[in-house]
Amino acid sequence: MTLLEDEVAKALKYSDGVSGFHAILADALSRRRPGSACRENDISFLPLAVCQSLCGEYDLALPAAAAFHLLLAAADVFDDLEDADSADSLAAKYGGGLALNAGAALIFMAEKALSGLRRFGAAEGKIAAIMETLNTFYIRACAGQHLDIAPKSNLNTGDKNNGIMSENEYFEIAEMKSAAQFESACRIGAMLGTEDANIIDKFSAFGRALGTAAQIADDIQGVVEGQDILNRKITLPIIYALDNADTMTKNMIQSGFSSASEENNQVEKIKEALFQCGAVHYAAVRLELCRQQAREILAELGRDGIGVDALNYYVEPILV
Amino acid sequence: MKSQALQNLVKSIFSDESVKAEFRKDPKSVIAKFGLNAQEKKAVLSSHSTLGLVTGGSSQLEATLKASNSWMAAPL
Repeated sequence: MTLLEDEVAKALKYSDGVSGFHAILADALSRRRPGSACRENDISFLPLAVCQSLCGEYDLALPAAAAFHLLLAAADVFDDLEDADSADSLAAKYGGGLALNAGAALIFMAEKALSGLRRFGAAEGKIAAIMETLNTFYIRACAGQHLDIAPKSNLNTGDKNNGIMSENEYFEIAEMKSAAQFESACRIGAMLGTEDANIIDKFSAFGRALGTAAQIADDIQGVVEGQDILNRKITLPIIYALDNADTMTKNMIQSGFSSASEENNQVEKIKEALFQCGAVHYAAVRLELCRQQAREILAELGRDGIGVDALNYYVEPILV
Repeated sequence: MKSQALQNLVKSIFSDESVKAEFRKDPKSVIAKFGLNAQEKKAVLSSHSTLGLVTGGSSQLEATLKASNSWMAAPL
């Protein structure tokens, strides 16, 4: 972890000498793990783990890992700005304008961090390919986020689907919004560890499965903790319930998610209803399907002679 | 992609106590009636054995889910 922190610090030094600028960036980065610049089990470790599985070394992936760490910190800043519901956010502490500026700076620092691949002997062409890969996936993630947060029809429209996304649309957005980040981390780690396009594609698929699992896990936690219900966020359990629950449950969810409803005790009732109708259970099974897919890809890579044991560590602890 | 077979299975279990009871006794025989593919069958059985998919009440499932660490970073 210290090596990754050092790599992140190299990018951060470009903010030195500007009053308050370094402080706000350091604050944004520290939130990824209180008291430390990096968090264990973070997505930013994926390029290291994948690269090491392929060539036995992880050092050459350190600049890529640092780039992901910076991008994830930027994502946290923008996520808080979009949600505008945290009194502890960077925006709440420094103001929206400064937070937005810090988020932008973190993105440019991530690009800068990638140029550090030169120190580890990466060819210019490889660096350019990695930058293109990273930017492509993150533009895709932004597109997914746009679809996710764009205004949706009111749930009480009376339409069959009430204007909310279908399950297929949900998975399309999850792949764009969340899986893209995991996929790019794994793909770039593989690009640094091998020239074999087939192996790189398999690691890409592994990242995609992992990322989708992570999104579903986040949705389940959102129900368990009640936060997604309170914020009227349309997630997989909600979609399942509106498709399959009995009329009384559907009406309760629609009422609770309508803009007119402000009753907080509705949160507990909706949460209980989501468990009782099987919505949470369904999401748990879908999560397990993604984890199975990730395991199968790792098994296939293992048969290709790649040491993937350490990567199982990323699959198994997702939720349950 | 949406799995209609999986949705039908879960819906049936959670809307019909007799199906739930049958699932508790012999999950494989219930699963066999819904046309799930091999991966879906495996996922249902694995989730059932890990979470007590239908035998665990909502508070038990909630406690199990809360106790687990979710390591993934917040999505964009």
